[in-house]
Amino acid sequence: MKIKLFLLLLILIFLSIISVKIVDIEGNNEVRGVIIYNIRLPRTLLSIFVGGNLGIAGAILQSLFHNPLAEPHIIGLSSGALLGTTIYFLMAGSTWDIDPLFTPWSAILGSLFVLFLLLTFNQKFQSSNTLILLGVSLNSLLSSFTSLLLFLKQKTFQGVYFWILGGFNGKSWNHFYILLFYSLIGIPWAFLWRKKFNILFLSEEEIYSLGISLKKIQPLIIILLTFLIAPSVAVSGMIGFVGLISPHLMRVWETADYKWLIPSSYLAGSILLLSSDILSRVLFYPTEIPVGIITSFLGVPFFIYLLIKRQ
Amino acid sequence: MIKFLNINAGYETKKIVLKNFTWETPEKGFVGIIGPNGAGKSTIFRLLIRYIAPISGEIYLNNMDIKKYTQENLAKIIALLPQKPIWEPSLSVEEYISLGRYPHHPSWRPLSKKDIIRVNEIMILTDTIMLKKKKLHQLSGGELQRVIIARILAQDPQIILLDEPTNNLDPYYQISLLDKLRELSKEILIIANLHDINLASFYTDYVLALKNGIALSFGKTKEVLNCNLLNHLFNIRYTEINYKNKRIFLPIHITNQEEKS
Repeated sequence: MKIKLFLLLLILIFLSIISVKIVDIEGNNEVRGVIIYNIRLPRTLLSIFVGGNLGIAGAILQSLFHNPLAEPHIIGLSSGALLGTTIYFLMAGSTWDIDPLFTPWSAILGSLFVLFLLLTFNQKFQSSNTLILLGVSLNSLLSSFTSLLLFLKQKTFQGVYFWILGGFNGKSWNHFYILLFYSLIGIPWAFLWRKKFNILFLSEEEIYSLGISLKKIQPLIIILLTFLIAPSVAVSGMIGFVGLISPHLMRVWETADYKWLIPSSYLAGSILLLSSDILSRVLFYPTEIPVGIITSFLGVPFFIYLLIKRQ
Repeated sequence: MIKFLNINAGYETKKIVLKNFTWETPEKGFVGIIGPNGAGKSTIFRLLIRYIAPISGEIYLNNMDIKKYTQENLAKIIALLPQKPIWEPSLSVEEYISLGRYPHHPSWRPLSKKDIIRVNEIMILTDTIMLKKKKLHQLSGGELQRVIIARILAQDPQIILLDEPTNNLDPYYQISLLDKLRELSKEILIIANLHDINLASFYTDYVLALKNGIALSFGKTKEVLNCNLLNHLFNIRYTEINYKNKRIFLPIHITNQEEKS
């Protein structure tokens, strides 16, 4: 288990070096230094943290909903955060400059709203597949809302549209610091609670009988999840399927025990998103494509494969 | 050990399931709860693990109000096998059984040596040690049943609640499970909802008969369980057959269908 984590860490470091150094930069040493420090370094760190946060958020959602298909994007949490952030951008005067306080919190409120709806309805449903259907419907409803808002305010359309597609192009240290703040709360929290997630995967009666009061713990898990998901969406837009692919691969590779799944899904999510980001830069060089498009291309076939396997 | 005092309990959809329910369990032994569907058998269990709270009345566990226990301390005393357990299929047998240690150690730390040794002992005791590294999805139905029981034993409970434990098991596993439970009941208190009257007759020390949320009778199985009671419970006429010290109850015909609710 430790060797495998170390291996993942090595891959991540290797990719980070590629991400910072890739494609030689023209110009003298000073220009190179500025580009590396001000553009590539924050961008690389952002990919690592967004990928990791989404990776463990997916793993936790899968335990909370007893469903291996649950993922921030698929069940509409990202769309909620996206709508929240879009509303902020429009209210802030059609800018898309990020505000350290209001941008992440408008995203947090957006995804809190969706999680609240999901948990309320989830108790009324018997089959866990209904959750996915509900999430997918919420997802398209909220996305349509976002589109409507952007349509009405076409001035901002282009800037926000590129942000929605998901990517790290043009992101600065500012974005990273905002994300870091919430990650420093969310990551240790998720790690300390790793054993609770094992229990939460069991049936509700078993959860109580093993000493966890679900009623008390659920609101806290909702807060943890929004801290992991919403700031990531606020700084990087819609990046789907990282939370589906990385925990699943880690489950198959070693085990579903969250003492393994939490650290490994984090590293796997980072690796997945960082390599997607590198791809997004070199695939159509010198044109960059939004990284969200790449993760969707990877994620949708994966999702369909999992759906078929579950039958 | 457990004392129910004038309990009224129910759910959003069905307001009152248990009505003015008062019952005191023995200290140890095998207790079977029998009664028709919807009589409130599972509700008793859900109250004990505090999955639901009673509308009125009190429950005492070892002479202390159950509300005063923390959820974790409660879990050190009472373990539950629900009707439909859910498990993560990619978990290994050892990891799954270790979940039973959850209430016994601080959850942010890795398992202590003592806990690991205890899990190992339980695996030897339940004959699951050779499955240790297997994943749950690789197990057969009978193996899975043993592994789930092992997880419950790893909790080191003084009371085990089992909600229809013999459902969906073939006769071999039914009998081997009940043999094991009877063995355990020499040390601790086992309470099981049983649909099979004859298994209750062969295996339990005590029987609680429940109908429409009211305890009809409770006592030693030999004294309480008879055709009259069964007729009253299920509206079925039974006949009793004695064979080598065992009493078999054979259903003959339905007596009054309209009254059954």
